[in-house]
Order: sequence, then C-alpha cells, then structure tokens
Amino acid sequence: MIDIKNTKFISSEDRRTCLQRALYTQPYFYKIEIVIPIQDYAAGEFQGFAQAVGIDDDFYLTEIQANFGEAHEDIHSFFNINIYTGYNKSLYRYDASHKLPSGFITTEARFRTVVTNEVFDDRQRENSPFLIRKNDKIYFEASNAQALAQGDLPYTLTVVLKGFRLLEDVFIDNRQVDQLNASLARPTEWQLFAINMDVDGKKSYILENDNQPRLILGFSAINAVTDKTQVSSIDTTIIEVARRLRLTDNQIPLQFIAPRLTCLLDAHIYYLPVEYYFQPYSKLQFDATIVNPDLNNPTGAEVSILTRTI
Amino acid sequence: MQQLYYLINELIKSYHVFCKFDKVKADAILKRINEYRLQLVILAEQRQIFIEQLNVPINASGYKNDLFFTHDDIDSLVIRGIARLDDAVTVSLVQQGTRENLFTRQSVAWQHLFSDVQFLPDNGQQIPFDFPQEIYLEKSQTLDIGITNQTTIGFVFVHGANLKDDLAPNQQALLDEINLIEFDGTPNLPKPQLVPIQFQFANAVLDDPAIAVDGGDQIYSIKSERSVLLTEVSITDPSMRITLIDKGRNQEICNEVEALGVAGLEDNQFTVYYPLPYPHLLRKQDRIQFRALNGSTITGDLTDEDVLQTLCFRGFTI
Repeated sequence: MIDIKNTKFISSEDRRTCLQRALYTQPYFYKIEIVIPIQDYAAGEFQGFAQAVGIDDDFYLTEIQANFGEAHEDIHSFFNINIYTGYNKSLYRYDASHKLPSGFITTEARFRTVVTNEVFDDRQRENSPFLIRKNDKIYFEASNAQALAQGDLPYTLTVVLKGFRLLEDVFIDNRQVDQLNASLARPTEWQLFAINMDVDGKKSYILENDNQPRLILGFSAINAVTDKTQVSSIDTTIIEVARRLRLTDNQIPLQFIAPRLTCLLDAHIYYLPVEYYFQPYSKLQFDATIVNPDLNNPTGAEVSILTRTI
Repeated sequence: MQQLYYLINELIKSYHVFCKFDKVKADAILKRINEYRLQLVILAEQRQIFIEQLNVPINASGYKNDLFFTHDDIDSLVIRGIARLDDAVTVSLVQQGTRENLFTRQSVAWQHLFSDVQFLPDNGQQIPFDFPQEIYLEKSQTLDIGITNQTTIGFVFVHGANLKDDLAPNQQALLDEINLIEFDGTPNLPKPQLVPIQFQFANAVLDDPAIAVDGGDQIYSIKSERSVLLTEVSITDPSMRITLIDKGRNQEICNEVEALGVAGLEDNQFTVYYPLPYPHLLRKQDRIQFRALNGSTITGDLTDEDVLQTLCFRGFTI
C-alpha cells in the first residue's frame, strides 16, 4: 500500500517519483452488484451468474472488497464466488471452473458497531497489480454456501474493485511546475480535509484545496451515531473538478471508500491504490445519496481525506 | 520479507506508470523489481519451512513442563509460536547449547511470546505475530519452552524453517523465469495467485481421512506453468489435523498438525490468512499434497461429512 512509501522517512527521490506517478495515474473504483431475488430465498438456493462490468481503459486491479460479512449477518449465508475477465483469465484462481469461498478473495468493507459483529477480516489487503485491458470485462459470479434466511426484500451483494488507471494526456502549465518545485524544496506536511455528509436525499458536497499542490493518500469516515441501526446509508461518486476526473464508475457505498465506525479498531483509513494529485484550488466533489433509517433523526458521517504536500 | 513484497508491489505500480512516459526510468525500476524478486526467491529457496506441534500433557498440579524443540542434523530458524494454553499460564524460553540464551529473564505470561489460535474464548491475540528476532538454532542446540500452570492439555505450534546445507540455489533457473517475456511482449511481472486445495470427509468421525472431490484418496493442488511464492494460508474449517508435503521437493511442511496452528480461518473477523513461517516457493509444475484426519483435539469438534472444504494458499507468481 502507498503508506509504505508515504511515511515521514520518504526520501526526496521517492517524493519526486510519487509525484510523477500521481501525475500520470488516477485511482479508480468499479462497482459490481448482484441482486438476490425474493423467490431465491424461498428456494433456499441462489446462483448469481456472470454480472459483468466493462473496462473502458486499461485498469490495474489491486484490491477487492465486498459486503459478504454483512450479508451473512442479514441473510445467514456465506457465499462462494468467482471473478474472471472476458478473456476467461482467472484473476485469483488456478482453476476457474470452481467457485471459492469469498473470504479467500475479498475483504469486508468496514461497517460495524462492535468487533464481534462482523464475520470477515475487514482490514485493507492489497495485492500485486493485475492488468485488465481496455474493452475487456470483469465477470463476477456468486452462489450461496448455506441456506438463505427468509428475506422480505431482494438483497444486494456488492463488490468493489479497486485499482488505478493511467492517464494519456497530462498537461501542467509553468505556474504549476513552479508550485510543484517549490513544494518539493520544502519538507512535506500532511493535512486532513473534512466534510460532513448528512442531508437526506441527493446532494453534492465539495472539498476545496488551498493554494498548495497536494497528494491525496486515503479516506476515513466517522459516523454521527454509533448505533448501526441508526446509521445512514451513503452512496457517493467522487469527481475531481480541475482535472475532470471521475474516481468511481458509479455511486459506491461510503464504507468501500472509507472505513466506517472506525474508532473501535485498528485501521482508521483506507489508502488509495496510488497517490492522487490534488491541484491548488481544485475541488473534490462527492455526489451523494443519503438514506436515513429515521427521517426524524437524520444522521450522516464526517468524511476526511488525508493529504500531504508534494 | 513481507516489507520487501510490499515494496515490490509499489515498484510494479510505478513501473506501469513510467512505461507510459519515461521508458528509461521504467527500465531502471524493472531492474530493481527483478533484483528484489530474485532476493526474495533466493531467501525462500534457502529455507525449508515447517510447522510443528508440541503437546503439553495434562498435569493437574500445574507444575512446570518442559517442551524441547530441536531438529537433528540441520540448522533451523524459529520465527513465531502460536499456542492454545490456559489463560494464566506462564512460559520461559531458553536456547540451550554451549552457551545458554535466555529469552525470558523470568517466566512471563504466554501471551507475550505467542499468539492464540482462532478459537473462542480467546486467551490472547488472534493475529499471529513474530518474535522480535528469529531464533537461529544450530544442529546441536535445543529450544526449551517451559510451561507452568497448564492443567489441561495444551498446544504450542512452532513456525520456522530448516536451513539447507547447500545454501546456493540454482540462480540461473530462477533468473530465467523472472526474465520471461509474456506472449504480448511485456515483461513477466508478479501477479496475485491463489492455490486452493479442495477436499471433503466421507464421515464425520474422529480420524476419518479426507478424500478428494472425486472420491479418490490422493489430494493435490493443481499444477501451474509458473512458480508461485506462497506467503499465506487459510482454511474453511479447522476441525482436523493436516499434513502438507511439497511433492516436487519432497519436503514435509507439517505432519498431522492441528489446522488451527497452521492456517487462518476463511471467515474470521481478526485475520483470514496466517502467514507461512517464510515464503515458500512452489516451483512450476510442482504440487502440494494434502492429507487430513477428521477431528480437532483442541476444540473437540468434527468437520461435517460430504461438505466441500478448501485450504487455500495465497501468494504471487515470481
């Protein structure tokens, strides 16, 4: 993970490399959803076949997160899964013909009230980059490993593929070059930016940078309440305004971007696959949809981003 | 070695990026990646990993029990211990040889030295941790683990590696594989890889042997055309005692050891994967043989019959 480089001991050579890397890449998140229909609860058997997400640019996959632990709490079944590309190349298997229990492949998106509530390991786990080429697809299959508990509504299994893409056309003007060199000449300073996302329904939230060029390293989140039944669901996209870059292909639940309810445990932050270059005066825009369990008592989350100067 | 792996990952990311706009720098990074890979693979080749189980007998008085760990005719390294002991047990750790090395000045709570297995009630940390420094045991030396206050049966799992007398592996063969060019003309870079072994039990009876999915008695991992550096291992059900043998090297990794001391649990909230003592190089076309006997002495539980189970190694191609 990028925290291995971006420490207080980072060398000037590595700072320059990180900057160059950040200028030519962007972190990117793809979301895959498989819905378990109500009739499958009755049958007790579910086979989710080959939900595909199209890759519109070369994508280097580094991590897969899912909500299978949450699903186990809700509908009492573990899941076996398979993930492969359109070229029938298995991402994480020698043998693509059998599904594997999900815990071998994915980590849980952190969304819990107490330690013992979730089943799966929800610390961030990153792998070597796996290239999925432009115009390919990622297919995802899932089937239940235990009988499904009866549900009243269709249940959604969510998987988020984290990685990075390369940028073809990178342009920085002379003023920015001066700013970057000035920043490189000084020691690095870290800074947190925070925003409250709390309004029920759809709304855009903006985080604005100051006059310093920065690198975004990761996201974290704190909920307004600690009772999970009262915690709002937040789905959001992330767009960086100055460079017009989207970091997500779709609205993604916040717990896949930042670990929620994190005061309780070790990891309070999800690091990005690569450092993101945050221009001076640029804005990070979150287009969020928030659903509160109790409309009379709306809750939200404080989302913060960890940055450092170049 | 884990740090080295993470560093390689970061360098691979940089390599992909610099390929786009600075080929000279990309080549320099690739050179560094390959140096680190070779270093990692050689370190793995020099070590024959093992996981051994030491049993603490029932002792109603709780008087001190000494467990002696030694390997004949070969030097070895011990990197960590995983234990299942009573809450109030204290341990001492002494390396015995011509010069005694006391790792504990006096007996200390076992939780300071060892992690706990992933089974409730948890008496210690359930995420394995290493000794501050690995313990190097020469052929003539013995590790003495003194255990006091354990009244029921207890377990200590020793994770380590034997050091081969012939320390120089075939570097050229390793380099040839590292320097392979893919069919699309790009260099061969490490990729994530899972090595699953699937099996089941015909009967939920103590000591019933595991059978393959097709009902045969031989259980192997699938062959691959690339060597894989295995770093971690996990299992779906720990209620069994397992044997792992790398058939290519004819190397026994563990022999009838409780699965709780070898592999993390696939559905565990603390950690899914246990790190192997050191990375293990599963050479291309080699297989890992798996044997298991149903039932755990630690938990007293049995694995269900006719349910597909999976033991899965995680790693990356070299």
